[in-house]
Amino acid sequence: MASRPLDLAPRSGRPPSPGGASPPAGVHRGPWARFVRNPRALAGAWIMFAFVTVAAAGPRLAPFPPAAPHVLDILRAPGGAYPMGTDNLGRDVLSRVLVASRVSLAIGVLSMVVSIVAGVLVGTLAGFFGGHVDGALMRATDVVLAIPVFFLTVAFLALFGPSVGRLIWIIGLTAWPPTARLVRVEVLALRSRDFVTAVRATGASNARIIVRHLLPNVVPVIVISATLRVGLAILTEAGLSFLGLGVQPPQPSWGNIIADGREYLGLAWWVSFFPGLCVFLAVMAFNLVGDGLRDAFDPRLQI
Amino acid sequence: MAAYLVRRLLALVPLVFGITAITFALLVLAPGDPVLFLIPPEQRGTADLARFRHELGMDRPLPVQYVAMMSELFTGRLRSFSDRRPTTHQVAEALPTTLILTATSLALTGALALPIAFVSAVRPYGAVDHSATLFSLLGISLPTFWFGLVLIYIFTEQLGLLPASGIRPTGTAGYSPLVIWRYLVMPTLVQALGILPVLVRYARSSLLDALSQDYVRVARSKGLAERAVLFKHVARNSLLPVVTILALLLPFLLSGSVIVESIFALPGLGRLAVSAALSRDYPMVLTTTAIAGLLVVISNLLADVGYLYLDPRIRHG
Amino acid sequence: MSGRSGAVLLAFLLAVAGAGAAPAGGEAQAQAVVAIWGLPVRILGSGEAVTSYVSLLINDSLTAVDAQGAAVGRLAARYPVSPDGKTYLVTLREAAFQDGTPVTSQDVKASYELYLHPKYPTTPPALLEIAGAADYKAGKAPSVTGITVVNPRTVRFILNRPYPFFYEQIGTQPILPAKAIAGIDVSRLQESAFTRQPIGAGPYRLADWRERESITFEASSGYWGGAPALPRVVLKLIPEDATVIAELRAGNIDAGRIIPEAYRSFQRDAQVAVLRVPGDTFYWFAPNFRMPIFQDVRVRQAMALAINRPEMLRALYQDLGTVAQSPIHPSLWQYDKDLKGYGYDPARAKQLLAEAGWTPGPDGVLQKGGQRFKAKYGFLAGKDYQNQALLIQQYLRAVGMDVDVQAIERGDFFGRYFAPGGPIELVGIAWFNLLFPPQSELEDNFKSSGSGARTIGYSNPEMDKLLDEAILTRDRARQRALYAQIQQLVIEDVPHVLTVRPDVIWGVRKRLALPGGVDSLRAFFGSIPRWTAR
Repeated sequence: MASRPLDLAPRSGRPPSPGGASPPAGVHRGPWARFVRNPRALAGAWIMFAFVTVAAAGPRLAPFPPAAPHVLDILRAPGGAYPMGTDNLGRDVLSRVLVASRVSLAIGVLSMVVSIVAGVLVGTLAGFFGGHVDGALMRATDVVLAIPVFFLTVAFLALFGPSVGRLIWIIGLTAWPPTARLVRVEVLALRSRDFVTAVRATGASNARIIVRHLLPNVVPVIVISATLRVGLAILTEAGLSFLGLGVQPPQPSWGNIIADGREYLGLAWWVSFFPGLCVFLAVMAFNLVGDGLRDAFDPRLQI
Repeated sequence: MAAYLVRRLLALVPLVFGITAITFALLVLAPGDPVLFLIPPEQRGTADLARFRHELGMDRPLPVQYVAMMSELFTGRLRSFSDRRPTTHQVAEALPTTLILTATSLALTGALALPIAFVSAVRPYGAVDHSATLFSLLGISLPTFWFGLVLIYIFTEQLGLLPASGIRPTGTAGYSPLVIWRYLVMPTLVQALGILPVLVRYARSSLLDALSQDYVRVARSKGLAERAVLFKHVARNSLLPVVTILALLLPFLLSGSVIVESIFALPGLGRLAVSAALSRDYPMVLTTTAIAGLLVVISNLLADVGYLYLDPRIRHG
Repeated sequence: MSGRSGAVLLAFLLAVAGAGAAPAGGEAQAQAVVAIWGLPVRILGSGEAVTSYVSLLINDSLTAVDAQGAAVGRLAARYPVSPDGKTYLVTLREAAFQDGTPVTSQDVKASYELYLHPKYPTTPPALLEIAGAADYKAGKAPSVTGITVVNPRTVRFILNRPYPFFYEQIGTQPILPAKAIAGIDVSRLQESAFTRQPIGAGPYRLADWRERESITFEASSGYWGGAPALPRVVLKLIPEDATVIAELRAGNIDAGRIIPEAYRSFQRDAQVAVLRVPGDTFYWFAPNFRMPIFQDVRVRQAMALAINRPEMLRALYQDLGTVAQSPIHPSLWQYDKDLKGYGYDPARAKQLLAEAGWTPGPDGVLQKGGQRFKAKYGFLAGKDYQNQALLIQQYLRAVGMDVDVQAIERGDFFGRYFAPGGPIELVGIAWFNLLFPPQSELEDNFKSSGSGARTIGYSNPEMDKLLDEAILTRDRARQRALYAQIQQLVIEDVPHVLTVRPDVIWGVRKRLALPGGVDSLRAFFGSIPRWTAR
């Protein structure tokens, strides 16, 4: 015993395995430490941070006004004054991509927020109250899940007219069911635990129990699903731009720059390539962070 | 089992009504007057709008319209605003293309996902696993239309190997596989790219789980022959649920079909839905959404039945 | 799998791929596959351009006019007009419909009565010039008294007044078989069997209609002008431009429209010829005349001078097209070749604006009496309109007009925005010039009673007078002079600022030979019966 270093009780709650395959280093030190030691997750986080900074700085970084056509420099290859080339109107692709980052990331993040909030609300209420409430909410969830998402999204945007706000709402409101289900399962599992009964005995109101005691435990599940949603939302906007229902020109978004550039794939590959690269990096970053979080909280959790 | 099936089939009905009710609500709330849309611009000043509206049945109270539309839809009498043919005709014409594309995409995805997942699980963090992960990332972070157009550029424009438009040679009828397989190659690849990562990930973790079970470790320590037998057993048991997951991926394929059909000029359900929405063809919007919803619900049912078949111990409350 | 069987499999796959790679366009030498961007939704009662192109193939009419405005007989062998200009005696030639039945005057009368039926949705306004047509259209008469069947080969048309455009606007309606259209319930036009299986007297028969996929036409051997050289033509729907280019290069289609940026690379293609077809689309933008800032003609003229049309043409269309000054298509005899339009003169524009009381403020935006020159430019959502709007915004800004551009999606545009009372300030759209000759189009947009004119609030008594006069005389020389004046007035009064008229670039595989003289998009489709395969 003397040779064994004195260590604090492992916060993860899992005893160290006696032999065989060694668990990833740092398993004893909690989720944050595990995350930070995961190189891929860290890379993803840095990329995310870079994108958020660029989006915030946005137009100030752009060498040219994104809407300014340079009629003499149509479809120029990358190089010289235009590191990412120009598009069919002579607009600088780099400037457009920089300015577009704001709205694309905003759509990604805000629609994720919408879906998370809705999902948590529905899942918590269903899991906590059970019974008829649960039944009704789960029926509603089934209906939303049964709707072919893209069909409804296209119908909604075509009928009401596309706008950034509507994009955020419709992408968010069609994406909450999986989150709701996950949260419901967690809440169901938690609400019968001893500590909840104990808190209830002290006379705490339902709301207090939910907010102070249940939600914090549900957070890991939510966060992981959230990061994956962001990438999907950005891609959905790109697809909608292809149909003419995404962010409306002249406001640039990664999606509509890619869509506009699709006619010139053979002639001017750079117009679609660079915003596509941004989409790829952003989605990858969010996914790496999501995976890292999942591994950090519970390497064996399957989501 | 039979009782379960019947119960689930009955549950389809409120689901489809839920979907159509939501769609109908959207149509009602949408701004703009679809009647104006149907009249050519030169005629707008003179045309008798009230008569048009009456012809289209749009001057009746809303609940009446909904019930009427629903009953007309299911008896195949609901007529499209654009060409006044029953919407079910056009959907019936478009459905084979979408179903064929979906079926081949699912088949291709399954055929690719299982071996990849297998190798990845057996040698985690190895070369195959890493490339599969990278490939997965590509799949879920590239816009499908971009990928499709790149494929067209390479295989049609540069190499001239594959056709880029249509589901079959012009003028031919029917969907004989020998004739149309070339038209399906690129669209299927594009569709599969979207769902392959999901399936591979699921299959991989399912296999990893199975492989780390005690009895497998015990078998490992016992020797080669026993290991091989147990391996096959593990593979079969953990991969079968993966097949049922395929059915759950149908909604994603339907969503993706909208874009794929437009790029490859495939006369399917997705394109029909989009053109209906863009031209305010309310009956067609309702019909395509209802049919697509029905497909989703049926595929969910098939997945659940699959689970049930594989694990009779599951109780459903 | 052993190495050898793997190689065999690979070889087999390559062989299959190679064998199947033969271009589908040429697999039947005798057919042509033409890619098109939209298919008709209905054959009868539609205003869409694509429907008119299909009609060119399957139908024929009594008369037409050539580029000089002279009458040309199609189903009509003789078509003299009485001295007072009100009676046309049309004698039919020997011709048959695609089902073999001969074309008779009964068919002529039945066809016109269908188009004039009270419930027919798209009655051409010119047909109301026929005596008794208005009554018939209003449901007050059982038939059109102005159309008389003299004998099975002769029809007499009597007009209300000496309308000068009989041959090009009245005589150009498709003639349909009376028996086939007799059973149509016009109030449910789209549900009739005829709209899905039309029969006409044109060079091609509609053989197969796959909704949203393709329409196949087969040559009609009994066509009076001789059966077309190509026995089979397919119009194939390909919505995506990039796909059209790929299929054209691969030989899977024989003809397709290509983007101007691809023109140069196709010029170098050994197997595809490029054809510049003068487009039918005239792009313009117009002010709302109800807004005070646009009521001064100097302001409007300044806008017209501020636009750098040649630059727009070069930037957006690779110089493939012409600047648009006249609202009349150059292929028509009414077009005034000598019309002097607007050059690019921002200095003069600023001068005019100053004369109108607008001077630049500190930020360069014009001001007058404390008001900034600010307007919203709404355009129909679409790539061409959008690109043009962005350039126009720059040009107007350069002379001090602050303009915000906004795309308006189709349904909203036609339903709410571009409608009388709609919130237009500046609107960007185009004409598609379907209605050759231009009289109806001009009236719709520039005559104070026209719906387009009312939408933008334009009313000019002099323009009304000229347009009315143009149909009161049959003297071509006088008409030419009148149309020249109309075009001049459009330039001076600026109800619309016309910008560009781009060419439509067609790629056609060299195995097909096209006749010359294709001077419009409509003429391109009309030339298909004269295409030959080398």
